[in-house]
Amino acid sequence: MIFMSRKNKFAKLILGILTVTILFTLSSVSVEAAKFNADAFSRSKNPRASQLVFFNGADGGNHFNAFNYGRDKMHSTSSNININRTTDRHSANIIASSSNAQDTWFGLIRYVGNSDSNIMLHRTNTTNAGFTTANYRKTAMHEFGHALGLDHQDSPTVSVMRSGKLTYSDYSTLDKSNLTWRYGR
Amino acid sequence: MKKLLILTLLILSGCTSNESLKGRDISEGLPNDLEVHQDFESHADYAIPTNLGQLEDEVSDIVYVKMIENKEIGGWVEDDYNTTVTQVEVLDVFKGNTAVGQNLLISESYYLYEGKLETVEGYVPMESNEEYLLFLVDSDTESDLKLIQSMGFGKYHFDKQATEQPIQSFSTLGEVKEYGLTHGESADLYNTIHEQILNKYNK
Repeated sequence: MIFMSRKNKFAKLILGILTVTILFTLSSVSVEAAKFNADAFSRSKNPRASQLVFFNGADGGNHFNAFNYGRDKMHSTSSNININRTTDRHSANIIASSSNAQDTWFGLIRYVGNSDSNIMLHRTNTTNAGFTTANYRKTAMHEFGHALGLDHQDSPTVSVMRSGKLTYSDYSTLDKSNLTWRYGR
Repeated sequence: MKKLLILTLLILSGCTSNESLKGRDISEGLPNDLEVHQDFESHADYAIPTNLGQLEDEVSDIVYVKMIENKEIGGWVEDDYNTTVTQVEVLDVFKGNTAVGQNLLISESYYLYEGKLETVEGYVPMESNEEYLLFLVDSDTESDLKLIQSMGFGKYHFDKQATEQPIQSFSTLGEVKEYGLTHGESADLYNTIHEQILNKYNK
């Protein structure tokens, strides 16, 4: 009986040590956390969300349609985000285009000062990667997210603001939560 | 005709965007006191490698090179940009069909605008006579040009790691050149791959 009791205590001790070791190991694994609210935004960007003017100068077809889609999705996330379309490139503060740059990206934003931006989809890199309509839309929404000040989110966070060829048809719950935190509903 | 038009645009963009380099010899690289443009900032959406193995699998060439000179400094033209074209000499080949001693033209993700440095996604320009391990893919449109895979994640100087400081926190190229990459979000990942590279390629 005494022998059994000692055996149980020893087993419990081993179990305890194993539990602590597993918990310590798990806590040491580097899993990037999702960014919320202020942490999700670039501190240096201050877009005039209520009076944005968008010129779509991208190639007809996938690029043009994806940027219009991205504009519509972003426009509808908050009543305080107004992205009006224009056909006058020079009056726009978000300008979309298609790029031939000798680089390896799918989408790109070039901030102009702290409120305006050029957003781009790459012609050959996207087609070579076999982009679907959902991939184009995700990339266009990603660039609009940057235009409204959002930073990248890390994998495996569910967010349009993650990098790479991903399939999204709308901003994620996290993206919308962050946008409404900043701009209101 | 199209090539002539592109060449003309390149020359024109060079004339307008490289004002601060007038009269200066760039064959030995850009000057350390070249200003980092504080009014423009570019971020890219691209395939970021999760580890060294993935990076190795995605490229056609893995080469250890010495930077020779910049052949063309890029610029911003209308709603697009030209990258900088840099000549390197191949010192060692780990993957691909290039030969030791061969010269390659590499597209680098930076250009000058208003005479100041703009880089894409925190890329740090290569320096003359410095040596780098490059992960390359072919250009789709220029047969003699190679592109660096995954932006700055495809270029490694054995002695330089990434910093989390954004490039706009630096005033001059001389300050930026202390690092392998300036990347606020993924500096740790770059440095992890950098360590794997040192273990595998820095023999």
